[in-house]
Amino acid sequence: MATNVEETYLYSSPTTFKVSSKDGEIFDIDDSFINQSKTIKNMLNVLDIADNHMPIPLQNIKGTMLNAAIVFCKYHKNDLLSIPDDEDEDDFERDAYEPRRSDDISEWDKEFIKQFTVEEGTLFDIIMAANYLDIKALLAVGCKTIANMVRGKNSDQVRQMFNISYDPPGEGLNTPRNSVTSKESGDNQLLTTQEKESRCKTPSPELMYD
Amino acid sequence: MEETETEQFAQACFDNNLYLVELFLEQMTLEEINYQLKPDLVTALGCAAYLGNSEIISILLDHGASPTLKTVDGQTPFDFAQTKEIQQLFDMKIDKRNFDKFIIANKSNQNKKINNLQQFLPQTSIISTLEHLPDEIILEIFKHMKAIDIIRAFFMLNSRFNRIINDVKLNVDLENISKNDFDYNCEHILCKRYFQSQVHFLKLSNIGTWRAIDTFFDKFAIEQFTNLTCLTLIDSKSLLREILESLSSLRYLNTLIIQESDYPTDNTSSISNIVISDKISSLKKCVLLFDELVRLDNVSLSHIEDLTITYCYLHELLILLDNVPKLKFLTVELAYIEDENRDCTHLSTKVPLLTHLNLIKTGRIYFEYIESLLENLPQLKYLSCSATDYDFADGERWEHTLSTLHSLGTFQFDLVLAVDNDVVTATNIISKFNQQWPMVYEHDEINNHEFLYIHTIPYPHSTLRKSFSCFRSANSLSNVYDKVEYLSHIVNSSQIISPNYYPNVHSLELEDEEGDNDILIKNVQKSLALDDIAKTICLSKLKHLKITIRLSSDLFLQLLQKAKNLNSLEIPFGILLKMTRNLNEDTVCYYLNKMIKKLVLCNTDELTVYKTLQFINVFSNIVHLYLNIRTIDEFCIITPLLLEKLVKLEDLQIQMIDSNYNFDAWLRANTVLENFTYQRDEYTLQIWK
Repeated sequence: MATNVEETYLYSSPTTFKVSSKDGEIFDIDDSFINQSKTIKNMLNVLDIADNHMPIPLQNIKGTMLNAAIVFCKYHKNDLLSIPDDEDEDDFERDAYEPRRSDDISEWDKEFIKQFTVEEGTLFDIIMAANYLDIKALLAVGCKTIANMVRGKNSDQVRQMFNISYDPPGEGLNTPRNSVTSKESGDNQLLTTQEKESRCKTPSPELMYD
Repeated sequence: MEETETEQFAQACFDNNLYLVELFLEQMTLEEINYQLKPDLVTALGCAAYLGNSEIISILLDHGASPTLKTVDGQTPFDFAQTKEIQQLFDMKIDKRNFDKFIIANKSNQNKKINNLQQFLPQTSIISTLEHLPDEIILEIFKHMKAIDIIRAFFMLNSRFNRIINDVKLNVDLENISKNDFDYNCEHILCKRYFQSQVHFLKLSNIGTWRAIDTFFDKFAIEQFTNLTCLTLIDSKSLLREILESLSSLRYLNTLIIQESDYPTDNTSSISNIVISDKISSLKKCVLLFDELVRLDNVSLSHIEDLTITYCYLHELLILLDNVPKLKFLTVELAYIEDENRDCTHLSTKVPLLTHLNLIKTGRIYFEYIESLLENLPQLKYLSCSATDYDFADGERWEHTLSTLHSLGTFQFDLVLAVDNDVVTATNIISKFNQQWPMVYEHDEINNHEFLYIHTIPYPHSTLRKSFSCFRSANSLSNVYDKVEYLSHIVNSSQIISPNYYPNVHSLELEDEEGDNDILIKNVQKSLALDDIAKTICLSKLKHLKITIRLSSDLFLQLLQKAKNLNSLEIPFGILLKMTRNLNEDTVCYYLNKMIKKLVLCNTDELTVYKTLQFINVFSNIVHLYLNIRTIDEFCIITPLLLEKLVKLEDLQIQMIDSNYNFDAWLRANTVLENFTYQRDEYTLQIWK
């Protein structure tokens, strides 16, 4: 491990690059960001930008999100030291067979993610930003946060919490509630007594798979 | 309607002629829709289901067609469904019928809500929502969730979520859950044929969820979960052998974790014969946590990459290593028999990929055996070793051994020595490890015995037992104890120094020095103050507290107030009574009531009839309860009270102190228990509700 530390310092150049957000804000990024964002890392490898005065345009990301991602990477820059290099990827595979958890968000990350909310939609923005920039740790924190929010909730609560839509009428398998109700009540009016009785005789779904 | 017409109608359903079907439906009664055609007694829905005409199925079900009318052969329309999609369609429509009934009942409310929503939609369209996330991220979120949480929260919301759920590898975790959630898992996930093939992770436990594994295997066969990759079994007891024998049919099972306490010794060899003998050919990772020695004779694991065994003989392990060519990670607790073969030569050619070695508790083995093992594994990148013997304290020999491991990137070491008058110069040992593996030592005194702890930085394990007067060699270092989560702190009479800070401890035990908990002779521990504890751990992270020493009532109250996330308490009932003035201290009882979900009344102080009602009052929110009762008469009065009054109770364990008791007669007489599962032996009754 000691040698890894040295290497990291050797290769870290003091150079910074500039990136610009969708809304035109310009940010300086350093190694902490480049090393954690695979997208930027690949971009720099391909583009081979020697001249760092031109900001790299990141058209998919709002300035506020980009700024937050940069803050996140600055805080987590030392995590990289404990992540083995490519040769040692076995370490990652080791847990690949077991399910992932969502109850292991660190204190700092919990505080960090609190600034984003469902109501303003920023929680989803930061997740999409993390996905676009390919920052694994940030994406994981966002996903775990949502996983924790819905734990123990039923679908009605989740629908309300996230304003989740119904399938359009006549399409898919799930029609909106209001059209269903009007249809049902209409049916009831037209049914004869005999039909109503036969309807009641339909076996109850609970007995279905016995 | 004529019989020929119902036949034509069925034909239209068969032909997927949507237009004709709709035309028919306009004038058909429910009885006609459900007409069973001769001679097979198949219904129109059965025809449509057989050919998978999803639109027709959808319309028929909307019109109330029955999915349960059987043919001559006893097959229902649902049975005819051939694909997962069609099966799901059935489920959805049936669930929707229930749902619609609910909607009609709440009609006025719901309409209002939907209208409100629609009003807001135009203005809020720029705000991102969960549904803006691409499928890949939703899937990523689902990866962090247990199956029950995904299904309960997202199934049936709309067809997109259902489609994504179709692709999820489900993680069915049945450890530490209520009977209710267990039943939900069985009914809504494990029973559904289309979900069965999606179950990739399955965890079963009998601890707290008493007899859950038996209940599970009464309902299901493991073969039904064809794509299972990871199986965890905790305390499956007598069922273990049977379960293991059925695993060979699972083609994708690559991880198997078995944890057993008090498993009969005679059987562990037969267990290893099944697990460690290539009978489960896909297995790559295997964790065997037994209290007993695991016998490894006659074994081979040609595909295994990651193996954990507690504990086994060294000579048998060496034989095993002949037959595990792909092994990369090995975690093992070793024991030895004096005369057996310990030849380690050529080990590196037998297990060329083995790079991570973790030796836990080497108390049953000499250092020279470890030496020769290590010297024959020059490819090691990671080595961890815990020891408690003097021969492991020889720094020079360690230095020599480590110098042969050229690829070693991580070395973790911890040594606990009982210092009996000998002056062991800890600094001497440490200096031999050079600067490459920095270490610290600590000096501690427990029960008038001196202990010396030497370990690499940071301390490599999650559990630690210390006294408050422990002295450390270097105080300036930070993060030394970041990994410690379970801390056992001995409160002794000597001066409290406690220079160590354990930032991530969530389980704390405050232990009496003598290990003697007789409250009659023990005085209140006055010297310990909240400050001492707050300097040691981060109180807001504390979840579990075990106290076997009597603290002052004030300190106990302060602890409850500061440790906001505390929800589990383990304490002798006698001490709890003393610290709460017989459950009469209102403030303390208020916090206990609000915070504590799990209560373990340890040692032998019993709950008496006289105290029961007050106890129920204070702990009315308790979910897990472990307690002792002295006499059978008391048992017969207290138990029904607990089951009736503690409405949140999921898990109850009652231990009889004085007399053993045949619970059977009582269990038969008490119909309350019909909906619970339970297990019992002579002294203990465990109930899971």
